[in-house]
Amino acid sequence: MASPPVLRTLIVDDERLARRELRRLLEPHEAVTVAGEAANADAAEAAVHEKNPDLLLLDVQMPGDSGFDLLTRLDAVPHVVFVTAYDEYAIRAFKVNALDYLVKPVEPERLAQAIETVQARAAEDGPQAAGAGDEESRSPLTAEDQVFVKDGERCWFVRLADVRLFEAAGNYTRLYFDGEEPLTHRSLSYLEERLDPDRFFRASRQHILNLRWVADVTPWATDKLKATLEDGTEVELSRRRSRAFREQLSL
Amino acid sequence: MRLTLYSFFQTITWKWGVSYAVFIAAGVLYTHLYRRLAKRREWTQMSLGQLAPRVVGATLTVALLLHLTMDGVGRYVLELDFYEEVQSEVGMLLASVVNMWILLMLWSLIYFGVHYFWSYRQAEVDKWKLEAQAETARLKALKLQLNPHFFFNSLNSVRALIAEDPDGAQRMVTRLARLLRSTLQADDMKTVPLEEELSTVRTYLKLEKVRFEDRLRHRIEVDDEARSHPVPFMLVQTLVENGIKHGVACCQEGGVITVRGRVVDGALHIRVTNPGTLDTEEGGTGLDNARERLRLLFGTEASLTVENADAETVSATAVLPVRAVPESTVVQGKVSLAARD
Repeated sequence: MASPPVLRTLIVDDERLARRELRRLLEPHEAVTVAGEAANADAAEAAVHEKNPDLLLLDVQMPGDSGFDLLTRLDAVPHVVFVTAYDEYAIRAFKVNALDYLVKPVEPERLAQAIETVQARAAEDGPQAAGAGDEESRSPLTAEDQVFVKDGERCWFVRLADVRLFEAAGNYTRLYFDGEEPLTHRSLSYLEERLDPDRFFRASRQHILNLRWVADVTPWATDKLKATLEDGTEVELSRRRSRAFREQLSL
Repeated sequence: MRLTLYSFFQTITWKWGVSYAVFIAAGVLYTHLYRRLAKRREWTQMSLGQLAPRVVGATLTVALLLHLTMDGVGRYVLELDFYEEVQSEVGMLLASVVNMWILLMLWSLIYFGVHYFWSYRQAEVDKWKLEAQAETARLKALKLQLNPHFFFNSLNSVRALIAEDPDGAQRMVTRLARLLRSTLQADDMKTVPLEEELSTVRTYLKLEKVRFEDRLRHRIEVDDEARSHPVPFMLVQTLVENGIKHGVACCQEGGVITVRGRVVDGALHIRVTNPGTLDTEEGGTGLDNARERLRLLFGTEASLTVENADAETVSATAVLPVRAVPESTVVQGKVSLAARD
């Protein structure tokens, strides 16, 4: 058996002593290496692109953008464990959305548990997600990547593989997965650019399909196709995209 | 009443039947009017002394009206032969009225008794509710004063300092304890000399400095003559805490907090500034509390205003009239409301 994947971790907290404390707490954990530190959301965003960590230990309250803001700014997000001193609003959000979080001062046992949980999840994701050795931060988003979606008070870490359909809603996009359909502030065209084209197919102005979720494709009008997803949703392909679909299929 | 008592064993003729019906109808009508009057005039809210004469008067009136109605109907409408046997008109009137009056008094006793009992219980329930509300409010205020976010962050810093700087950690624990004690002792009515308050503020600033390091800078400038003036305990601390929250914690580069104390025209002016701009009436509960305490302790001449001092600075200014608090309260550290009223 392969040993559990090593988690390259980025510590994000505005207080130096708090970062130091986390670093010290992580020392006994062989499965974790600290890839870097960041004192605010901007620095963290740069560090995520540069170092491509597997895990974020993320303070919620920071000067400028909050931890949540940082996550919505990232395209693909690593595993995240939130860390907070005492923030009733944040803690309610963690509980409502069943997110992993630690309270300061962090108990070593709770940290160990959180790391185990993340390791188990990382192992599920397969080796590809861990340490992709990112040469270019703008590489396409694969099905195994997870994105952070926040819609009002609710938020989700969702694996793109689980998203069956992206639907344009003005400059926003509605994601369909697991019976949820929140809005993200990304446009459908932006997502089309970023998503792995082998897996995600632009069906029309309105929709991007996850090809793995397509159960059936039938012709329905002159030169046009209609895809039926596994949950029964029917999505029309535009004439131009129907042609492209046929070409892609014949390859 | 006599009618009922006498006629009970007699053969009931139709006239008696009608007179009974009239009696019942009139009884229902008059007592109903009586009850409406009592309700409209809110007799149930009255004290016993106010209520008793009203009830006696009203029941006597009803009894008399009832008697007159029955008498009139019996005598002139039904032309009952009963009246030929009557010996004394006055005696009959008295007996009849007193009989009915006793009944009505009994009814009133029960009616108002039940009302009294019910409103007493309601008052008890209201009292408990109020007490519970006050308790919740007190807990909320305490939680606010304690500022859990600050305390947990500080404890976290201590944990980190233990490894990095054990002496620093020890100092920090002592300071935390001192501030915690002050917070728990912060009686709404307590005043301390400004100098003592500043010492609490310095303790607090040192603790925050451990967290924010270079991001937090501060300057305290207080005129000598201002130092002995009484201020509400933890007032300046609240202002500084607010300044740090809105002017330092929020910004990556941090900022400078200044505390300035001066006596102007016999009034103590305390001004706390922090970088930033005030969009709305920020600060909320902490400042509202401080304002309320100022008013209670120093009267309406005292004020607390938060405003944009210039484009990049927010200032909170407390003005405390010097004469308002008697000397003794400063020494004792307490002022009782009753004494001021």
